[in-house]
Amino acid sequence: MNLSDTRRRMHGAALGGAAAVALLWAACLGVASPQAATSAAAVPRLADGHPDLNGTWDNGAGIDFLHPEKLPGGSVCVAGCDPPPAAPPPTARPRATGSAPRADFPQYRTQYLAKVKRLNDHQLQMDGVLHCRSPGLPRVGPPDKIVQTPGQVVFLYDDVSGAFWRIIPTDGRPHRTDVENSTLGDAVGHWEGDTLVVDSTKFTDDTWLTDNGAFHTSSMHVIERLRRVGDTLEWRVTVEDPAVLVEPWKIYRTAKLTDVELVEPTPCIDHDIVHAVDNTHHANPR
Amino acid sequence: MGYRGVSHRMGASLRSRTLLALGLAAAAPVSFAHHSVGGEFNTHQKLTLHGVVSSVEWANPHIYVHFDVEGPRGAVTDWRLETVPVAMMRKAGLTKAMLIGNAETATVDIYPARDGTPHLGYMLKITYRDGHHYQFAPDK
Repeated sequence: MNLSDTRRRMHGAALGGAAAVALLWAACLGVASPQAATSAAAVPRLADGHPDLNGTWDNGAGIDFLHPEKLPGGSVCVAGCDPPPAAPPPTARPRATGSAPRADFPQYRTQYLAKVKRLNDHQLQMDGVLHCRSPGLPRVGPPDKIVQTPGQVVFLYDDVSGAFWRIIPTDGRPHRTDVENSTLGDAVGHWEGDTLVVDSTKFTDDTWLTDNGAFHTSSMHVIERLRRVGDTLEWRVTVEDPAVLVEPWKIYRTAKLTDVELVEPTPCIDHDIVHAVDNTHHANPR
Repeated sequence: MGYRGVSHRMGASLRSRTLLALGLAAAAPVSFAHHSVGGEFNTHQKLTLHGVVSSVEWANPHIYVHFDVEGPRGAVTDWRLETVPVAMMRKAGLTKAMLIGNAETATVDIYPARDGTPHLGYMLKITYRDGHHYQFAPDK
């Protein structure tokens, strides 16, 4: 998929109707519905009363577009198959101020637009994930597995760039002052009702918020809000980086509880980029 | 032809060898979802190779299939064929062993590297001797 394809997808996702927006805002504002109340009641809990987030969570790994087909005789069409008969509607995403979801890209201050374009134009050289480096937060997405204990939550990630983890204390301690900045930052968590809130700081500035040159500074502040609704994990993220962003960037994704366990990490070895003869865009779905 | 090379890895597991057969076909530009194949491989030139899968590099961001192709004088050339990431392969239910396919002869359709690197390509499709196949890109 090239850049124009990516943008078309972004714009497609922005075409949600007013009803979808209303539902989104109702969800964001915590407007209760009978169905939501039922789902919340059904959520399993640990002995400390908090919702049980333990488990492996399938967020689609960025390849929801892929619909492999098993064919007669043991053949398989992995990609390039005919599209499925009914594609799911585009996922609408919350917007900070408006009446319709926006294109899923951070809004940069005018003086930084040229930098975003320059980074995107030189994506093959500048995007660390193409060289098997950490995608950083929040680009790494929702956790693929959660290990929850009283006072601590561990997030595990099985990313195409490699395996990563975050150890998040939830016992009320403050951010550490004795650690270096990192791509995933320093995280502390706390519970607000049934929502796990993870606050992260101390980032390096060499990762992107998402594809296409979406840089950030080392002063970025990321707040993740995770809530279990039935067997769905909701992951809402707010990225604050006022030095370069016009407004906080908000994203929303979900993951489904799965009994398909993670496997040993797959090594990431970049053999590709050295053979690229031009700057043709390389998409990185997550 | 430019794609014949001196064998640098005589595959011990090579049970049956077939003659190198390179078929050049005019191929329309292909749009690949989520991959800039066109930046690295010549999507205007589809080649067909006959040989044996000798090994598979099960790695991200792309799996590589090593494909031994025997030339007319018996020299075996190891082609490195890029394909999809591990997550895509797993979603399709395919494994390393399935790709190796008992080291039986197979036919692959590929796009060669644009930068002239010999014996490097992107694998569009592999078809095994019994006729079953795995497709990784639009077959046009």
